[in-house]
Amino acid sequence: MNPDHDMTPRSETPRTAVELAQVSVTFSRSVLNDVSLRVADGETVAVVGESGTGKSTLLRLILGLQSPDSGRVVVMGTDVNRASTTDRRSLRTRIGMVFQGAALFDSLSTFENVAFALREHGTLSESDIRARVRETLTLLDLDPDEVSGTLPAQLSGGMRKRVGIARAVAPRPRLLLYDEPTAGLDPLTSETVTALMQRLQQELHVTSIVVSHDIRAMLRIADRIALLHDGAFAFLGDADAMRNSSEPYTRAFVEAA
Amino acid sequence: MRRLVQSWALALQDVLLLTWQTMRALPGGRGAGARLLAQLDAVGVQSVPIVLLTGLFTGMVLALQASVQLAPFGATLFVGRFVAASMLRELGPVLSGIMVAGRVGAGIAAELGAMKVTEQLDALETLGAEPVRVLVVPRVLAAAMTVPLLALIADTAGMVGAALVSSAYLGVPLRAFQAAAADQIALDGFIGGVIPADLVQGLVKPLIFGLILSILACHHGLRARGGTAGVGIATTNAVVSASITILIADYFLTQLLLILV
Repeated sequence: MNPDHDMTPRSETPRTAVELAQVSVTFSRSVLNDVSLRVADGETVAVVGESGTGKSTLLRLILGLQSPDSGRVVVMGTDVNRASTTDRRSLRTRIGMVFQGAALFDSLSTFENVAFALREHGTLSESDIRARVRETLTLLDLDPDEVSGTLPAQLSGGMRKRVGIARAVAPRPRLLLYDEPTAGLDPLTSETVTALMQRLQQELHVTSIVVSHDIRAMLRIADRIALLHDGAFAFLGDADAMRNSSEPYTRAFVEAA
Repeated sequence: MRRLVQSWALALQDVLLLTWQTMRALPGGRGAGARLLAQLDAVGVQSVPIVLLTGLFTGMVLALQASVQLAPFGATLFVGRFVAASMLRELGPVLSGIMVAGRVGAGIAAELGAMKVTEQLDALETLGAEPVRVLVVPRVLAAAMTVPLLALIADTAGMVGAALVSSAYLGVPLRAFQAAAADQIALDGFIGGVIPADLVQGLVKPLIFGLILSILACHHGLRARGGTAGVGIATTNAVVSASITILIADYFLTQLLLILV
């Protein structure tokens, strides 16, 4: 085992939010091979690596959008692949997902996009939904009066990303998953989105798993970083350990950034 | 050959599964009314002009062709009967089905396909919604409700077109055309002594066609893959498979309805 591997979270009270146990996934080739990861409540874990190393697949496994060939995925106490459709749907109400391309619903306004999950869950009144959407848009530095009525196609790339994050956090999930939150953004907007993610962690105290290419940003915001290479973690530990790692691939990856 | 049969069998299985999931998701849960209204507009109301024009010109052509066949026998007065039988039983339902498959089927497949390749379907699931309930149910219901009405519009437009051509070019007075059409409808009989059998055929068929075209369009859209090229392929497949299936279903429905009605 790689000496840089640290399979236990740093928190002193490690109530596990997400656990992947010996998970393997194969498409036309092996994507994840016997991967294990435990993410504690409130922790932020970044998953980095080259393209096609299975980073997004990891998020799909956690959401139950994809089943592993072997191994177990347990999210907030629920074994995702053994759960009934109803239980899986109920679990997803506690998870927020930020998609790479934002995946906003084209035919709905910004307001309707952010309100979508709140309406689906059906636990808030219409006035509470309106208040929550305004509050969430403001939290993401978006002016509710300005953007509420606009369609996703009318928003800039950075604003779309922020609305995507707003939609994910509006139901106040316990677990937030980000798939390449800064991909395709200019450096300034990328910086803004990273700062927003950091602020959300502090204000909402959610567990976060961030899949990203942006190693520099991840070194700054993540409690631990997992580096995927050849279907397994080449490194799993905190930012300092990663910077000081002697493992050749990890060194090369950090230096390339 | 074996692989082709296998892929058709798998596609059929997928379509039947989607049909079952759609039935289970009925009536569509929270927000179903608003979603259905939007689709009634997109599928039904916005298809009226294209169906109206198709029916009108088909009726006009039918009248001209019928006159060529009937003139040697001095029977141009029967143009109304010929057009009524053709439009109400066959052309109205089939042409409406195919036109809606082209316009709406392509739209549904492209929209759902684009949602699939841009991860919007995954987003729906992660937000706790079922894509079948939110996207498929309203489209299928709207198609089943509006295609019969669109067929009626095509029938009416076709009869009006044929009547105008008969009156303007064939020397058949409007009243004579109308009487001949009414005779044909009476000849084909009434169900329960009240409802014209032609009308029942003309409504049952498009109801089935509406279900076929919407389910197939949703099936192809939901299974789109490979970016924008995949959306294009899904759209083409949706229109081709719906049009062919409608024509095949028409034959078997006609046989069945000739026995039952």
